[in-house]
Amino acid sequence: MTCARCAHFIDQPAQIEALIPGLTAMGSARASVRSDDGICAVHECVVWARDLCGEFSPRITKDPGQP
Amino acid sequence: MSETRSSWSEFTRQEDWWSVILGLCIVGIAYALFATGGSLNWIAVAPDPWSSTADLAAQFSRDSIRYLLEFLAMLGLFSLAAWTMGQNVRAFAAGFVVVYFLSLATLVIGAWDAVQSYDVEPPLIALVVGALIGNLAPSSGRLNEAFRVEFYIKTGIVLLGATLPITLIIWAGPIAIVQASIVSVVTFFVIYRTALFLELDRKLAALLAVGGAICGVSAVIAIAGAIRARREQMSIAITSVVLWSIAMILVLPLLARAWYLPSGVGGAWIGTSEFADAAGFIAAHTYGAFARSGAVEGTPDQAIWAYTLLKVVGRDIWIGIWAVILSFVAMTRWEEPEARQRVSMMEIWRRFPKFILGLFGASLLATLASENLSFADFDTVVRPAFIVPLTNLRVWVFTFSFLSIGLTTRLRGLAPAGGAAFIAFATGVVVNLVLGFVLSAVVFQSYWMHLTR
Repeated sequence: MTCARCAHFIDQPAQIEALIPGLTAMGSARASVRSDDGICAVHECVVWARDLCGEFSPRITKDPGQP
Repeated sequence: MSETRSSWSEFTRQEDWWSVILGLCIVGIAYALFATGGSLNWIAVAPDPWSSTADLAAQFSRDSIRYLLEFLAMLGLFSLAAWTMGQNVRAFAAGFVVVYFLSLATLVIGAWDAVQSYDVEPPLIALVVGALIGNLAPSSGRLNEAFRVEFYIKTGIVLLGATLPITLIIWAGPIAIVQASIVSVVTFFVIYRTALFLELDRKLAALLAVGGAICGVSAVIAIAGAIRARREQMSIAITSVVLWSIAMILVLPLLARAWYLPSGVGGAWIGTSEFADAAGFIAAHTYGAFARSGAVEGTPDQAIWAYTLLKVVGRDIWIGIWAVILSFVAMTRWEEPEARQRVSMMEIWRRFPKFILGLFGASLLATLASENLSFADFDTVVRPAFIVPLTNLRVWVFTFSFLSIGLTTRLRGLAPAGGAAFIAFATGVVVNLVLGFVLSAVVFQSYWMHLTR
């Protein structure tokens, strides 16, 4: 039920870097300092992966057998 | 991503760990070759000073195979890291070719004696070349994959450890931590209180404060999740840090030179008052060049050593601690009770900039390599066979980073910061500059002036 398992949680470094202008100029979403933080697409804020809220929606993971 | 993300996954997907792996492997190989009577020199090549095109042509004719092998080795190592970190490896490799050849052009220009006579160093040339291309040329698309400012600078810092004796870290490190801590705490509260006075949101105030006080964009990234900052607040803080960091690349060396600060003192001031690691290294290299030309007292190494001690050892190590403190404040005072979370002390380790461990490791290896040797032996035995090749490789990797700063700093793409945020940050910059000067050039001057191997 945490952000890490939520469909609204953006945690891919490339997506984070695309969403925050200037981030790669002197920083990086692949750095230790980010740990596993991500962006909540609902609240438009940066959150810890272990955060939680009432807007939780489970992330759908593909069945390995599916195309 | 899994909630129970493994340590191994963190190890292979974070560029901090990859900078440690690459840096220590290179230093380890250099040490092994040196210990068995060889050297990494055969592959670690960089342009020598030249005065005519005939000189230059002769150099490349002589060293072409070495350049080719060096390029292939670096392409392979960085592409492997990029692939493991989940990047598009084809796009990375294509972008790396661009980064490498632009860096080669930069180093060639910087080695020209006509350019050297003006104390213009390759780092500054790389920044300008990158900024011109980044802001004037059409979007570079997928080539961006290889414009990794932080990854290159962290790898370069690990390599730099081989030229920074561990005894120097032990001797001056505590002073660096004291000086950096004083300035960080004061700057944080100046920016934070000014921002609140100007009626900015307290989360934006905190982001601006850590960006100015600790370590620029990295601190903003580390703190944003801890205080649940909004995305646009993060962008405003990043814009402030990036623009002021670039301004300080020019301001700090010129001010320090105007007051004839010795190179170690100038390096300490830059380390105390610059905001980003990579930008500060450009300023410190520039100031080191003033020492090389005799414009100021001291050696180029002293500027780099003092800068590294203040910025990396003194300031960067505090990121995790600030993240825990601010998350505790946010959870106990800023957030609604139902939204509060438990703050874990493990955040200090999770967010610790791991490349600093690589710096210490490389420093220890290099100190072992020169153990029981006289200064004369060090200069005739260790320096040419062990230190010079590592310095050449560091120059390359740093140049990749400086070039990438220019290529990724697209002024039109930055978020507008707003007048209040600008004033709050600028107030902190002024206090930081004055306090940094007093501590570097007056209170702890004797330490920074006498940094030596």
